[in-house]
Amino acid sequence: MKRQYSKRQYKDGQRRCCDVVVIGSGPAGMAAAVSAADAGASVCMIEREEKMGGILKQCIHDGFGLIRFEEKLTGPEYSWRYQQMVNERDIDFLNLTFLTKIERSGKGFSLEFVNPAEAVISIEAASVVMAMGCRERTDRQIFLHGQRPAGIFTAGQAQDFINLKGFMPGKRPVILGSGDIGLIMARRFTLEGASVRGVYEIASLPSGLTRNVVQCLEDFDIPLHLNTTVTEVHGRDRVEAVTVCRVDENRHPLQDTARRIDCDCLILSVGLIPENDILIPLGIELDPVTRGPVVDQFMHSSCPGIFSCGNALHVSDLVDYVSESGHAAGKAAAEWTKSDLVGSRKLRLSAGGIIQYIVPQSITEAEHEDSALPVYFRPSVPADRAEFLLKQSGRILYKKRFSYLKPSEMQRLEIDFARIDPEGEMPVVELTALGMEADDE
Amino acid sequence: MIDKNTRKLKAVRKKLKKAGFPDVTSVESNGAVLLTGNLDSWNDKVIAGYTAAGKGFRGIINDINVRGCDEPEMSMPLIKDELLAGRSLDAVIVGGGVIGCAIARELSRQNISIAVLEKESDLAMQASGRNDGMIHPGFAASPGTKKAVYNIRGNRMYTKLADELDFDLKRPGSILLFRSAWMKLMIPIFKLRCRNNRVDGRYRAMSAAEVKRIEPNVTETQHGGFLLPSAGIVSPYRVTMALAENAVLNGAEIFLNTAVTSLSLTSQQITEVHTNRGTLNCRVLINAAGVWSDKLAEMAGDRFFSIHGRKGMEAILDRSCGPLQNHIMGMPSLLGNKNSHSKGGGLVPCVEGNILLGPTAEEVPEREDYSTDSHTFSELLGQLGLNNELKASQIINYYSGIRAANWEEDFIIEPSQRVSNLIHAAAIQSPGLASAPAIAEDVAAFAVHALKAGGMKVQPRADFNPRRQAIPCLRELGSEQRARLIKRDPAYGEIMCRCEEVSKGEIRDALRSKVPATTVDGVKRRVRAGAGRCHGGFCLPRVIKIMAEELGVPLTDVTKKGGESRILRCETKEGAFDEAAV
Amino acid sequence: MNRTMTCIACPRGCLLTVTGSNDNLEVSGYQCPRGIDYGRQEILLPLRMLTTTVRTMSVESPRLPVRLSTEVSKTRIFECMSVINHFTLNRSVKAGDVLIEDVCATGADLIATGGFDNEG
Repeated sequence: MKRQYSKRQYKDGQRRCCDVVVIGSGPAGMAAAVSAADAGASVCMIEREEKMGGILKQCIHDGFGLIRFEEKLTGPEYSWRYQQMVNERDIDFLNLTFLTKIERSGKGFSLEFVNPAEAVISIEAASVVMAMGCRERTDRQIFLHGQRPAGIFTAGQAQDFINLKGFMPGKRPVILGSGDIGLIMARRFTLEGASVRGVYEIASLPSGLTRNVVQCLEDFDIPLHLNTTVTEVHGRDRVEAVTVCRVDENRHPLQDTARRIDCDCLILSVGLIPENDILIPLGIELDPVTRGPVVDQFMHSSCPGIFSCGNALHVSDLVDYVSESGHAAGKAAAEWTKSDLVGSRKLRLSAGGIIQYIVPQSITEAEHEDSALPVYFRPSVPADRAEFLLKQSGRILYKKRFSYLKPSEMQRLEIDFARIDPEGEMPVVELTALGMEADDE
Repeated sequence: MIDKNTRKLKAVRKKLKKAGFPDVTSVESNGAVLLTGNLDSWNDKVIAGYTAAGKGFRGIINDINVRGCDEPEMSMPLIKDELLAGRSLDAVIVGGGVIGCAIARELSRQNISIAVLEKESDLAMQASGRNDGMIHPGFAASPGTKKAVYNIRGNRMYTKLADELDFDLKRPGSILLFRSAWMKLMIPIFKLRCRNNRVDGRYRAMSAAEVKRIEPNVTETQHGGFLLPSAGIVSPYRVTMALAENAVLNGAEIFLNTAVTSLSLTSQQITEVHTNRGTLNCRVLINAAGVWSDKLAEMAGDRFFSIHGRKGMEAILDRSCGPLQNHIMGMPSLLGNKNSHSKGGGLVPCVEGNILLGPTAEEVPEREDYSTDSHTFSELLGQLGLNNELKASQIINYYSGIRAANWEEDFIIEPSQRVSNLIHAAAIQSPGLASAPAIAEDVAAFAVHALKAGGMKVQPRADFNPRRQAIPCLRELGSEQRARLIKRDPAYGEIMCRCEEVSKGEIRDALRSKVPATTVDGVKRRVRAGAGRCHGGFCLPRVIKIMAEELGVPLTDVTKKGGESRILRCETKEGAFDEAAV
Repeated sequence: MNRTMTCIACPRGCLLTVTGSNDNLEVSGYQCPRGIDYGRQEILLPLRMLTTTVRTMSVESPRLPVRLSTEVSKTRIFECMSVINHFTLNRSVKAGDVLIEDVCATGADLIATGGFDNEG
């Protein structure tokens, strides 16, 4: 029997008001709710599922929390730590509750939800933290052809079936894409007795963490085929085989390398897409690369009062950073309700060199006690050595050297934004690959 | 008479010879031309088929063998039982597409017993579930053809039908865009055709600027267009379900996973229908068997046409694209491929708010191979350019369908000339969906006539209820109405499919409707759970759990689309180890 | 002995080569000293954490996530799995509770990583 938890009792139909509404109770949402409450805001956290934790519920593997808790935790354990923090605070938690509408209302927002217990709920909030996570790219979004039998799953679906429901999607899977969930599922399939036929990756490098390539594939002798992709699915009712092909440098399949691999399911780990579709009517600006909102150092979007964090902001490879952005967004959302930053100037960061993306994308002039705030970026190409520069009006404000960068591993650094002159030119961040001779500098 | 036929046959032979097929043999058979012989390519067979057509025979039976190219047999349901054994029905309709279901609904106005036999695991699994949902204005078909007549009649009937059967119908109108300035010269011809076909609405030509005004995102390459305001859109499978549910409400029965394997006839009358679920008796048999309608005619000894597949691919764009286009738009090439019988496809705003791209058209030897390929997909993407704002990255799904084309390119809607209790509703492709209500009216009348001729007393059903209520679609309701429904039944407040906002209650309703969904795809087609941008990424595990509970089966028995399409293999930890070791 | 492996001590992923006998291992290919330790450990006693699920009696939560309390030898993983696969949870537990003590005499206990309410 599903239960509904809401600490507060409201009269039927009563309009609820709070300072901060947090949409989503995964690692980002829980952190945001905790921080917002600690900053003195009245907080309501909304979850569409029955329990808190988001995707962590099905991530039963370990490796979470090394930075945040200095421990290697499993997903459920990491989630449990945050759930306790939420429960210790006066945070109203509404589960099985689904956001259907969000509109501007005065300075704040009017949100509408449905849930089985109270039907339609309206909440008025001064600020909103969007922590809705991401969805997986499907076979349709990578334009896979052939037949459409049963047996094509995203890695997250397979994870839900195996870890939570206790069912095997197949016993001889082929895995397409080497994202972390795909690698982790290769191991889970194997541990549960399946024989993984191979992992195929169109790129020349795995897209998941090296640690996962070693411990999830190499440990179990599961072959990883780089520069190779699935071009066709076979089987009328159920997947019977796939055709795999090597690709050229432009990722076009080389037809003469086509081979048929017998399998009984195809698992896709081909990318994640931040979920922000409900914000589009608000006219929010999205970053075309991250597919999350454009935010400033307070995780504040282009729509005043809307904050974004976690995988809805940009897809992270470590949960610790997801929580970190949640904390930042929650705190700022709470402070937003007390101060008025609408008029303050936002400076857009211009990114150059081998930067794929940087978050935050803009800087707001503000007085804040934290001198340094986190910045996250990914390089567009691998680099053995690289230099990160923040410049404004020809002055170098920040400089850091990195060794061994790759697109699959997100980087984090802390920058003191107070050094940026709000009246100055557009600040520029630049990432440059360095040659070996720069070594002795 | 014989002389006349001989003369016509001579003309066919001459044409074939001229077209480069001297070895194709043509003889007269059942009023049609039977083509036999051997050719080296499927394309040659197609050309030969069309070459032989149009010389005054009832149809073309194209039995030419293509070396090295076998036309696959019809796929059969897995089930074998005696469910229908000993049953006796007045009217048996073979085929659960929109035509079969429209006929069933029309016949259910009479006090007769009706059964629809469908070999697939659900209704509308083939052409009726794989088309663009367009209710054509009746412009494209040549005046005087059955297509033209039924299209116009059907288009008019849809307004009332949508009201009675509670399905969405919109009439956005369609714009035939001009590819070049000289197409303006065609305007008088277009208008004449509209008049001849009796097309409804204030059809008219528009300048490029006018088109731009009502479609701001239209391509810059257009040179004006021709507006046909009566063009409508529906969800084709939902229309099929609605017709079937109303028929069931009025006493008809639907048998899924049921294929006709042969027919027994006594003195040119069908007496027994043999199926994989036993043998039944019927008084009148209606052939609405789609791509297999020629095979059913053959079983009755009344073959005078042959069907071939015409495959079309379509793509669906994200719902967020909906506001980017108002009308159906297409830019046909009037100088297109001589052997292409498609109207060229285009962009269709769907009733659900998505935009549909397509279809393509290609003659194929397979009648049930719904695979897609990258070559056709590239061709499809070419049509995206009609709207400047649409991008391939907005595509959330694509699929193909197969039209049941014949060589004469017209519907076959008539009582059999050989078998007294057989009626054909065959070779129905575009504009079949638009024509369905009108076709059903006539076929039902033929059937009633045949029943009466057979000595049966047929009377209108006194308690016929023309109305059917759809499953509520909560995302479309206002807050108050939505709240009222959720309070009555909290299951409507538990959202399962995030992308399409489908509640548990709606999914449950789909599993309990008059023609209940039994597959994951069946649920998706009825209430759109899993039809959105994440493609069931989140809701599939939840949907199959509800299905297992409602259907009373283990999770491992839930299928995507019937047959062997089980979603899950087995439980974890259940001997998985030992098996994998083998 | 001559084995190559990817070092995972940091994201750089150096390709290590380990040669020699167990009491005299030579590691090469590393770019920092952590590579030496990793290479040695992987030859002498590669340790892994095992996380999986156990069956429960519940319809709503038919599986409960579990882990071993410490890393165990890589070679013992499947042995542990077969024991864990035969376990069915039939009582309420909270995260951290021990379900099986000393699994396969590895010295590691099987512990729940989430709570489970047997009534629910």
